[in-house]
Amino acid sequence: MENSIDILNELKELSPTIAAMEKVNVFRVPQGYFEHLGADILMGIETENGITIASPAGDVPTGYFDGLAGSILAKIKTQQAEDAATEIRALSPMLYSIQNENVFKVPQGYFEGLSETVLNTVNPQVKVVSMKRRTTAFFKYAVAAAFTGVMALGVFKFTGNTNEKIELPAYVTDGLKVQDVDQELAKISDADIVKFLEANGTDVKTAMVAGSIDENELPSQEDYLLDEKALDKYLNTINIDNLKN
Amino acid sequence: MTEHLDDKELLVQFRDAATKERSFTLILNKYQEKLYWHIRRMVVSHEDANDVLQNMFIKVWNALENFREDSQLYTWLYRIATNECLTFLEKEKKRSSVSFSDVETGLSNMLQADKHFDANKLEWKLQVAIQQLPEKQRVVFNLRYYDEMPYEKMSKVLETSEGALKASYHHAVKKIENFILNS
Repeated sequence: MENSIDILNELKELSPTIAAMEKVNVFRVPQGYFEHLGADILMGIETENGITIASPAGDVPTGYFDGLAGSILAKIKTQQAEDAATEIRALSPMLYSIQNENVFKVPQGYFEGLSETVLNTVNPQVKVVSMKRRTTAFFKYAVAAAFTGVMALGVFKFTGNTNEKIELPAYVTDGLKVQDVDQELAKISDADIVKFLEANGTDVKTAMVAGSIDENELPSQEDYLLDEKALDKYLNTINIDNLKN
Repeated sequence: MTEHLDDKELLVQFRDAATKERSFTLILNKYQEKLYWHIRRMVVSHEDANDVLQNMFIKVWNALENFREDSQLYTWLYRIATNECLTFLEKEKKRSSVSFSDVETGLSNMLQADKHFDANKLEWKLQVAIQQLPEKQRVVFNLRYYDEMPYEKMSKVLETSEGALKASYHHAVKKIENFILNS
């Protein structure tokens, strides 16, 4: 194991100028910084993790006991189930007295016309959307997902009252003909999916890797901290050629 | 009285809920100054060094329980501190949308803005020279020159071969010497 003499000799060989320089620390720290650092860091951990860490025995911040009773009482008060008005009155009578003063203004008649404005926004005129007969793989996927949703809603709605015989609308019965979404999706070739991804500027390799990642196998946060190359190593274990098959 | 427990004992105590906080405080007390100065030399300002150090110890708290003792606590802490510094400097670079050389100029400017800065004093010249180095070379120089860290340990901290570290340190020394002699 090298010692400081070895390190100094190495430096003397490399640069007598630097080796001859006195090691002076030009930086300064605020007075008492290191005395409070431990407590500051523990407080940071408490805040970050939402936990309470007891102070080590015998190590109590200056003046801790002076304000202890007051802070405990304040905490108890805030934890008591009290309405907002009572709470603000106790905490700050001044704030309570100005509680209902609103400094913000709204245009005249704003609230009267608001519901109409909102309804117009959420209920625009029905638009006719033409659909191509030959759909892309991703579009099929989306349609299949939509059908699944419609079927679920339909089943939920129409099985609510079992005594009534209800004739299902055509779009629901059409949707019900799809017995197995996976079966339908399996009919789409990989070539079609790749073609679609490429046509839409998607990095096919990235998409395939992302799609194949098993979350349970991902490196943990600790692994990242311990080894900065953890993610690279994990990604290298994925063989892109195998994914294509 | 400050207790001097070895790292293995401190780690055992950290894994026991009853002594967890106490052992963490002891680890903090043992390493805080060394790590602070390591970080401070990299980021220059006290405020930034304090932020990086605190974030670093928060990560240590969260990861220490699963710390694999195939490396020493000392080298592991230095590795986290170094990574935190480099991440901080990277963020600064992105935040201000400037290149690395501009970040280094910024660090030099920060040094020169120090009220105690004296351009005629060699120790300040040395600091300005260090800030001209590329980040990783700066880490190597600081660890070797100030912390007197053996290459073997540094190799574990920076996950770089001893040969590469030696070459990096030699280059750094030469650059600093040139800077000081020509400024």
